[in-house]
Amino acid sequence: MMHNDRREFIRKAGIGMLAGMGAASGILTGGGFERTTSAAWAAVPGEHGRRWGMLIDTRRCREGCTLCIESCHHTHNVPAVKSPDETVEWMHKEDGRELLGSLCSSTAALPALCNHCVEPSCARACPTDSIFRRTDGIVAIDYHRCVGCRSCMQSCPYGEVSFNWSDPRASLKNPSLDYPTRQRGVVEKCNFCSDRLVRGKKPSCVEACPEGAISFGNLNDPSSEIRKLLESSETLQRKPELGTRPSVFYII
Amino acid sequence: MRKKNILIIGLLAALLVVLVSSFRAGAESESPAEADAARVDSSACVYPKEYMQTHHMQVLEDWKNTAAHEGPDAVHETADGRKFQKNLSTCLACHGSNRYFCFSCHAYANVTPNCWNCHISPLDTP
Amino acid sequence: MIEQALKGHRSYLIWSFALLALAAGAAYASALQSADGFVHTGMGNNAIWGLYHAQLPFLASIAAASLAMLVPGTLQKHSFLAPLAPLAAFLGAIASAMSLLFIAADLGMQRRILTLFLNPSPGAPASWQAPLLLLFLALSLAVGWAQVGAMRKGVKQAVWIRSAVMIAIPAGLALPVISAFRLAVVPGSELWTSALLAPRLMVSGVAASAGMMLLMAVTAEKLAGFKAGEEALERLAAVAAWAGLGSLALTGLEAGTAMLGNVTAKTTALSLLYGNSPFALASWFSLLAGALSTGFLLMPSLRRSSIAAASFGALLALSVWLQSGLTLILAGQLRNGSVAVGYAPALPEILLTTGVWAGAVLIITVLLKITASAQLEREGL
Repeated sequence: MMHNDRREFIRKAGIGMLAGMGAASGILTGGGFERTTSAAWAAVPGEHGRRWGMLIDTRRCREGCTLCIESCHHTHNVPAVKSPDETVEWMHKEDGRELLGSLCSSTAALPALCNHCVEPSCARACPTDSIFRRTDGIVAIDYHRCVGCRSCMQSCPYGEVSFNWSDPRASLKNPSLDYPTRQRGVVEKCNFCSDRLVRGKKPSCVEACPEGAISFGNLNDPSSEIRKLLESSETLQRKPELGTRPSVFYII
Repeated sequence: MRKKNILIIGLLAALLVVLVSSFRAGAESESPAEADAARVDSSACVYPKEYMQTHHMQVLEDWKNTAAHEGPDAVHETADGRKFQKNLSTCLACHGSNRYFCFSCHAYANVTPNCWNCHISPLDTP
Repeated sequence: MIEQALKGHRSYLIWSFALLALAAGAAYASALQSADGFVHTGMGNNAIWGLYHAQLPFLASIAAASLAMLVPGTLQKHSFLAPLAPLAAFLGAIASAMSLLFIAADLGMQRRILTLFLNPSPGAPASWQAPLLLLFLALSLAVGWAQVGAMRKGVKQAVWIRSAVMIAIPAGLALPVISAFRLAVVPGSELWTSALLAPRLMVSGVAASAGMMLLMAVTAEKLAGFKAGEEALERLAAVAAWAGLGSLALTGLEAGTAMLGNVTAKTTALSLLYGNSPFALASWFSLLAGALSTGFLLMPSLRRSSIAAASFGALLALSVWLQSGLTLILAGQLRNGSVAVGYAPALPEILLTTGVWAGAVLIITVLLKITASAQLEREGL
């Protein structure tokens, strides 16, 4: 009797495990893979709501022009720290090959910023949920909560998180009054201008570009301008093989 | 015995589901956020003056703790339906007109809140 | 029994005061750091984590490994490890306390430290680290203290100790796994995303903690009359030897897979350790010291000499500390093999690190002293 019970139990428990796994996989269907080759990036089924995204047309990006970066850094009071080992940046320009790999034929410097990934590894690294993905797809930092452990900085494969090794206010000449500064000991990075979006404005780099090379919009809205551009052009993302699903795209 | 088995199986399944879903990447539940417009209504205070005199720190503490994670939905709705962006600049849109508004009281009460470590103090504005 | 800590031979007091002075240095460095931030450290954009974080995987593995001696020593009757059980418990407690101190030292915003406990996100392995360390610290400290008390009074140990150890098992085993998973969230870093990292930490932790316990027990025996028992020491040496062999095997498996598969990312990760890298010397030293000490400890004739066993055990522990402590973190965080930028810890950073270690050694010394006098007292009855 006891023996039978045990056998029965094992059988039932096995079925339970299978059922549990089935249920779990049902929950997980939303995540997973995104087609990342060229323009084939369409919204994943089951993904609803807004996902802010950016498209940089590198053909229109001028050599030596840094207006987008200057505008971004001024708007958000990003300190211009002198020491190269302590730089803080939300946006910077980097060699196209370094940025996008061998598919990119250009070695011209291209703008780079936080990719606002759908699967952000920084958020998985943060012990306090201080860096997290918002409902509109923006990966944001709660500067009131960040403990400064630099795990997100370590885990960002794009190196887009900066740490305030020293007091940022000391390196801030002409602060913009509309946005706070940060303090020593917290990390910071691009916020996709969530502060401007809420006021109905476009990101400052988009507005600052004299060539109109940067487009911004909702990637989950088939009628948005950025979706049309993505569908009509060949685009690249940074390190798509890592599965982070960046929301920043580049036209080469 | 049978009931017990079913219970155990159910618990196992639930445990698996919770485990697997808790280890899913950081995305918080996505809900369509349609409201786009600027909602910084600073025409009248969030709460009556008397309440704010004694409780503004709790209101600000609550905003401080919740605003970033609520992201686009970080809107404070009062009982009579007025909406405020949860942001210190919402307050300063009115109270910033008097540069000493915060400081005269805080100096008197001998408190030094750390707001101005990051937020730009009205005293520093030109 | 605490009064035994303050009495003792002159050399004991000198040693204790020297350690105390080093610990005071740590307090000074920590005050300096909380005033000025990380400017006094060698950390920067090229070395995001430094000496502090580099201690964490090693200490987590030591804490987990203390279970390997605590569990049989406590739960099994007549285990040869029984006299060492309180020592193992204290080792686990100290390793987790040190981890917590190093986590605190590594925070940019130290006054927000409670956030680590108040705002966890279950999906992030790092969230589990501090709370679990705290739990493990409390459990192992309570168990060790109660066991020494029981030993002194010559009574059977309390029943709750068994339950405390039962809870400590999953908590302790989770520590190296979390340490490894904390690194595994970094995509593209082959040194850190390896599935072998957690088992390697566990096995090498057993080797290192057995080695350290050999050193501690033999030193305490020679100087304070602590009695671990001949058999316990020899078995401990055997544990160190076999775990050391396991750790070497896992290192070899990792390297073999990388080189046979000729996976560029993996061989690049290996070259960050052993090749053209600022950490190559430390890595090679660690590998050779590990092989040497494991080899000698595997020889029964050498193992029986307590002095030889203790010195090779210490060498093995040093090798593991270099491997899973220092080089794993410092080399693993280098982003690009060609631009291997060195990291040199600054003086306050070194002061703080050595100070925490000195504090730990001081506590171990005092605990060993108390345990030894509890043993002597009991024999005197």
